[in-house]
Amino acid sequence: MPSTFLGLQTALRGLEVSQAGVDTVSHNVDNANTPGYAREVLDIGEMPSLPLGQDGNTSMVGQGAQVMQIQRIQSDFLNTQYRAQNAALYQANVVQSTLNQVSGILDEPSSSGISAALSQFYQAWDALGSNPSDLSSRTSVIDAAQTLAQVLNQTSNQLSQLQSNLQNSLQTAVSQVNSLLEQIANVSNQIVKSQQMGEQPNDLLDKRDALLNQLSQYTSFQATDTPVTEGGVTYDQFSLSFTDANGNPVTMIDGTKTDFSNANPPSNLVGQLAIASDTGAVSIVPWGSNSATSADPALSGQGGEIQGYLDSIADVQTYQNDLDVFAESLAGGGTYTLSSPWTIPASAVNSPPYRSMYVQTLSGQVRLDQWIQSQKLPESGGTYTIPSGTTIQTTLGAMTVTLLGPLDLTANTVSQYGNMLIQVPDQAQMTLSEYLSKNPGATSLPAGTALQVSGLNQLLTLGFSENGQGQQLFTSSLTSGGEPITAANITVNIGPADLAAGTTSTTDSSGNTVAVSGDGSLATLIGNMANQQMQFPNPLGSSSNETLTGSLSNYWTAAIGQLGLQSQQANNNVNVQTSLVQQISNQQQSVSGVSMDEEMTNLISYQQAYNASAEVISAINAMLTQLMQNV
Amino acid sequence: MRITQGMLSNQVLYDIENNLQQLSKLETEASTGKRINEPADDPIGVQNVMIYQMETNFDQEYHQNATNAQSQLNFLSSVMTEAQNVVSRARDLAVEGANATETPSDMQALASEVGQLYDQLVTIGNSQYNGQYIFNGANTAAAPYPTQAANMSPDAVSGSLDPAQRVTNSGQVYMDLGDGVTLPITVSGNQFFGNQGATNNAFSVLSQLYDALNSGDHTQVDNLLNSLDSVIENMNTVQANVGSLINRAQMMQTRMTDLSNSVTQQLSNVDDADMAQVLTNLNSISAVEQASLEVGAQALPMSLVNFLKPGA
Repeated sequence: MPSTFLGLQTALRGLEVSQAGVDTVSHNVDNANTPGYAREVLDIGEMPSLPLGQDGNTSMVGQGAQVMQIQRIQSDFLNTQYRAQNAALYQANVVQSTLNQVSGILDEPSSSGISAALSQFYQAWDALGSNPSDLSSRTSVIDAAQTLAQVLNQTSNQLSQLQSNLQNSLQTAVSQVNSLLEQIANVSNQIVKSQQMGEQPNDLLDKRDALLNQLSQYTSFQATDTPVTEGGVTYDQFSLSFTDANGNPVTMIDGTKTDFSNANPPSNLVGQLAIASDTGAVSIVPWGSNSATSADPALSGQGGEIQGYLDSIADVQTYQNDLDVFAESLAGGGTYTLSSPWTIPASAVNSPPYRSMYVQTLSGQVRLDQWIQSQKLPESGGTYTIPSGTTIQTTLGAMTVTLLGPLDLTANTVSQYGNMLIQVPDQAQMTLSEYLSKNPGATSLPAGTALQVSGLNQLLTLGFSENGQGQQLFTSSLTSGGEPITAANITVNIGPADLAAGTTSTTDSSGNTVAVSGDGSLATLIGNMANQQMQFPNPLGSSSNETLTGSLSNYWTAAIGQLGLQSQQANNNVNVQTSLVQQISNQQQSVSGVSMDEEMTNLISYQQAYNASAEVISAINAMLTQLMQNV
Repeated sequence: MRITQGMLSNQVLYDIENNLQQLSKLETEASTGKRINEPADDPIGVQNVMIYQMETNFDQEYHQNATNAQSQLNFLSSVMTEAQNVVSRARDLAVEGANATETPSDMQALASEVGQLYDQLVTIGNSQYNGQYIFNGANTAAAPYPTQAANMSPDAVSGSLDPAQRVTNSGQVYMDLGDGVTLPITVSGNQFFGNQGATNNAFSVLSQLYDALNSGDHTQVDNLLNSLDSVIENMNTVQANVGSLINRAQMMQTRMTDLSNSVTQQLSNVDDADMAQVLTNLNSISAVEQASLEVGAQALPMSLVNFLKPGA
């Protein structure tokens, strides 16, 4: 026989359940815009019934409702999908933004970029060829050469600046990942503690999901939640691992080492990221050791900003290499003895222009990369340092030119370039010394002779200026240590009076050898070099000496075309990833998002249920009052 | 599928952003008038643009060179005409002097005029264009003929001061007109005025005429008429050659204008935005953008909340 007051108790439970319902609605509505929030739904169940127990009547009477649990609605599958695509999106974003900046720095097509400066350079030469004794034409060649050198310097510096910015961003991203790992490890410990007390820590789970979403911005990872039952209590062991370069998972947070002691760092936090001091790679190291070397496993790139930065740094390096090849080919090959140590990027030693450099050793010439290997030079901060005193020969910019006018030979030319290959019209190719021994007393080479020169610089030293024999136009910056010419250090060496415009000489009133004032054949030859074919290292050929033939402007145009293709692809990647993330995010919203309509409907039904329960209480109250009065 | 307010606002944001991106690209195209504003816009096209731009620059340079060559050659030609006039005048005087009726004083007067003509011819031989000697081959900085000789009487010059003994530079200054075409724009003095010691050397012939007139030798003057004719003939030949060079320079100038036009046309085909298309697209995208903003503004604040009265 149930109690007289059973009805009151039942109605009270109704009030409590409705109250909890309204609270849940309120919680959902409040958190509608909280990142990582998964909506909660009240799981309501019936209370066990009581037998009426009157006169053998076995009917049962219900005792009302109760809150079973407050369920968190989310999908693990969608979360994993979202994080993977989000990582890819952030990687694509970084690469796109880098390539955008590179496009801005290279500034093509425009009237102020390298292409325009090169065109003006050749035009200035052509104008000088038609007016070789005019001082203003000479000055404008020097001006155009300076402009070209400065544009190369600036562009190269801006690319270096971009690279160091990317390096800083990479460092920041690595710190962010470490900080996120620590937070995730701590939250996981709190979750386990709470679950072991039989609680359901929805807020902590939300927080961890939000942290994991944030982590996916930096790199991809695998997260596993394994339910474990101990002493009748079920809790989740949460583990998180990264992938190393060999494709093996490396545990960063170990779920089997749940920490209950509030230790700092918690014992489940086992790994962190660090940048290797020698190669600059992002490596996985035990938690707490903040330094790494290339011996530590490297983080494998499967998306995220970290991979984006690494890709970007490599991309910028290829454009830096392109610029260096351009600068070297413009000036032509030469021999350089380092007067101070020279630092080169380690990632580029197998690429042009470093692939075309040779070191002079006692046993002959050795290619730079092979020399570095044989010397076992240590890598540091992603660079090799070549010691001073090393003699390096560069080979880019070599070409065959055909003389427009006769070339007067001086003692200097004969002694310096005796090995130069020449081909006089209607004769076989031979060296200059061979030619002179066959033609004793020859003082000049006839027009139409083909010369194999190491580049523009050498060609100019064959000609004549107002001051005598011509001088090299380009040199590496005089302030640094005699390094080979690069885009960063290329400068103009000489003034207008040392500029050779012609190939014939005469003797002035004081007996000096000077250029014939109206001979502009050399300048015209250079002015027509916009189409001069030369050999370029194939940027796609790995370590072999594959070459491509083309003009300097062809080479630059191809590099810009390559940039265009890369940027276009990066733009497409970003578009595809944005729409993928958008779709998955919508699906997540569909499952876990708060719907105002739904919440309001729930609010009304809980409100009405509450009112009804209150009505029941008031009815029972009236019944009991009546009963009391009648007694 | 369950639809939530978050999905609606996400979707509206995503769509508006997409529209804005397209708007911004079209806006750039419309305001620059160019289809290719960065390499990513058309990686193949950008290479063509760079090549065409360089070609246009060179065509302009060559065009300018052709114009310069033309004006220098015109100048050269007019100087040559002047020189021929001088020699023709000397011939007229010689015809007069060959006449046996001329008195010795008449002959003196004729000789004095020939002396002036001689000086004038030396001055012409040292003509300059833009400060450069045009009759000294490639050595444009030095005067081909002794400048002092222009103020001396023909019988006073001798040795190194004698223009007739001068060997001028045999080179040539070339103007680059593109496509491997180079035009000579100077002439060697020896070519035009005759080699040193040759019978058709203008200076030596005038000098001899001066002497013959001075000494009143009618027969010698008569003999020199043939030499004067061969001087004029040589000058004519060289000038005709210059005339053909002027024609070539003109042809190259026209050719460069044509080439430049055609390259500009190609550049425009690759690089210029199709304004009609851009503006049409711009209009339709901005209409879409406006619609999505309006729909967003109407749909986003909509939920059951708007229809529940407080305290109901």
